[in-house]
Amino acid sequence: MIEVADLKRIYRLGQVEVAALRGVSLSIDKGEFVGIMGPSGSGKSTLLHQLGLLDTPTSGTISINGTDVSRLDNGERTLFRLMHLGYVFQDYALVSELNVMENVAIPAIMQGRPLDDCYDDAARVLEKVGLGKRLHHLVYELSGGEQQRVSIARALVNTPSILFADEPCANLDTENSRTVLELFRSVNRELGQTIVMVSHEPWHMEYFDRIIFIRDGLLDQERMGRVGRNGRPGNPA
Amino acid sequence: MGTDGGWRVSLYLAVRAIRRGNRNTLALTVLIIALVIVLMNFLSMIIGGVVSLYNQQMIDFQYGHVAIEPRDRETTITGADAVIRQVQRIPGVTGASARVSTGVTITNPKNGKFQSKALTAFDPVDEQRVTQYQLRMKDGDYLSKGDSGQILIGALLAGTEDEAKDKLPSLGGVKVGDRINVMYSNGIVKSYRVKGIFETEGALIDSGAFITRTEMDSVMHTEGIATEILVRGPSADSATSLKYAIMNYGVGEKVKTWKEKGQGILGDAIASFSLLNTIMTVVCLVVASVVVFIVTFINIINRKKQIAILKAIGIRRQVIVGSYLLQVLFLCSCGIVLGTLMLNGISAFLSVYQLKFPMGYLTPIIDYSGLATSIALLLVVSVISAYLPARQVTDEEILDAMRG
Ligand SMILES: Nc1ncnc2c1ncn2[C@@H]1O[C@H](COP(=O)(O)OP(=O)(O)O)[C@@H](O)[C@H]1O
Ligand SMILES: [Mg+2]
Repeated sequence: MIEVADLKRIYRLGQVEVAALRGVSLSIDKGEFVGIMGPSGSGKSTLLHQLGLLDTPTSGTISINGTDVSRLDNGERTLFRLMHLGYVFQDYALVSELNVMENVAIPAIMQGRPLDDCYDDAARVLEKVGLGKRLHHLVYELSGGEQQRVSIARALVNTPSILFADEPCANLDTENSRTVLELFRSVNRELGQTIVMVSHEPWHMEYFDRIIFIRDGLLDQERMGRVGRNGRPGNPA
Repeated sequence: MGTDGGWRVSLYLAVRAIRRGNRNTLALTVLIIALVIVLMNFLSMIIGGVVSLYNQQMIDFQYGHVAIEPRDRETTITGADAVIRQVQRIPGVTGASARVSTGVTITNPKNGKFQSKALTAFDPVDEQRVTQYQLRMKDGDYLSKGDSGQILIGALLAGTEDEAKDKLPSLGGVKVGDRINVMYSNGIVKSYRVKGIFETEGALIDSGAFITRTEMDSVMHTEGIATEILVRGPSADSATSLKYAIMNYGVGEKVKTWKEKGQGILGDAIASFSLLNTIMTVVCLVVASVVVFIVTFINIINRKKQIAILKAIGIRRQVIVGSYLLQVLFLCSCGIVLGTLMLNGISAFLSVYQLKFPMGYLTPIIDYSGLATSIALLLVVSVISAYLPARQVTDEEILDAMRG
């Protein structure tokens, strides 16, 4: 499903170069719930951004569902994200003038589908995340945990191939974090949703099928060998 | 797929942003745009009224629709009766009046005040079909055919006994029934009874004086000649075609429309007004553009993260920019409608509580083509002023914007 080969991302800040990713190769299968873990600043977000087509790698290749996405231009990447990918961020950043259902429906409307279908799908996904009774509430009437669940519903409404989440629980307390993680696990188990999630909380590990550890922009082979639950230590080149 | 949803999403976002956004900001912006529309068109509405008033006065009291004047190097039209008969046969002509004007000095024997004026003579029957003095009699009566020893004078020439109240030099308070003396250029002095006093509110017009042709002919022997012939046709707008019709009928004298006669007098004033109007328009457009820019900028800068995430989930930048443009177009449309209503309201108000100008009471006239231009300019300026900040903010890289 996702194949990554020798991925490098080097930030240039004037004269200084920061190598956030220094050659990462891995593969993720359909239906996996993968955690990306590692110390702060190790390159977790950077990796996720490359996989999610939110940034362009300095070198290396990424292929998703057989498409070499590193070749896509900006417009094609935007369309690819709309059609195939879903995102949950630390910041929910919902559109404040839209109600819960409208926020979730936006990606579906953008696909050009009939409005009623979009609303039906939005309502269905919101039901799944436990907000079936809050469809017509405005965003500011919801708690942080509820807003994050709205943003998860928004990410799922187009039934993406892959759901990306970058520390989605960073702004939530333990209880809400657990709700979010349970939710991820249930869509993973029930719908076979592929999920790639960044986290640095050790207790999140129990939810993942597999964990990709990184350290200083490289895969942490030693830890992956030790912890990989299904015995598949990534796919290093 | 995925591309055709663009405008739908722009509209979807814009409609909800307007419906659920800040009402006060919306109302205030609409009001400012409305005032801009009013200001951009107010001056030309007044100027339009002035021009129309002035034109109407020229037609009704000075020139008719078309004036026939002596040929070059001649001071009079000879055979005026023949010309009149000829002109009256032209289709559309409703009246023609042969006038004779001569310089005189008019004296009020009661107080010795005198004024040098052009005294004009006409046939009251013919004249009534061209000008409208008969409708503007303030006191006394209009002249009748064959009147002799009687004179018609303007209210400003008659004046008041208290000189301070006069707007122009006058005879110091002449009333109907009073006698005044007229000294002609041939030395004859005649005493006339004031038969009527007219008031048109036009300063130049109301300082004039009229007698009958019968009277003038007996003093100056002007039988059969005229210094000008005024012609009235179907309408002010058809004056030019009337002019050519008159020329085609073989009238060899100079023929001028009221517009040609009036040219230059208001021209300079109107040019200055137009300059003021242009300055006003530019200032208004700058105000509108700044307001729209600020409103859009504040609106959008507060939503940097929202916008970044919308872009991340696959909403094209143009869709977001489009939603802000639609919002501004909506605000402008409301402002334009409100502004147009306000302009009409002001116009209606000023038609009831009229402003007095030197040539009379002014009825404002909205220049709708000018209004259309100002609306178009406003829309263009507003769209640009909304586009710039919207593009600037949505141009930012997703990840940069998300970091805040
Ligand atoms: N836009 C950027 N410009 C320069 N350096 C960056 C940028 N984004 C990330 N980095 C650097 O790249 C490294 C990895 O960052 P990141 O992927 O955000 O780490 P993590 O998510 O694991 O905490 C860090 O050293 C960070 O400072
Ligand atoms: Mg991070």
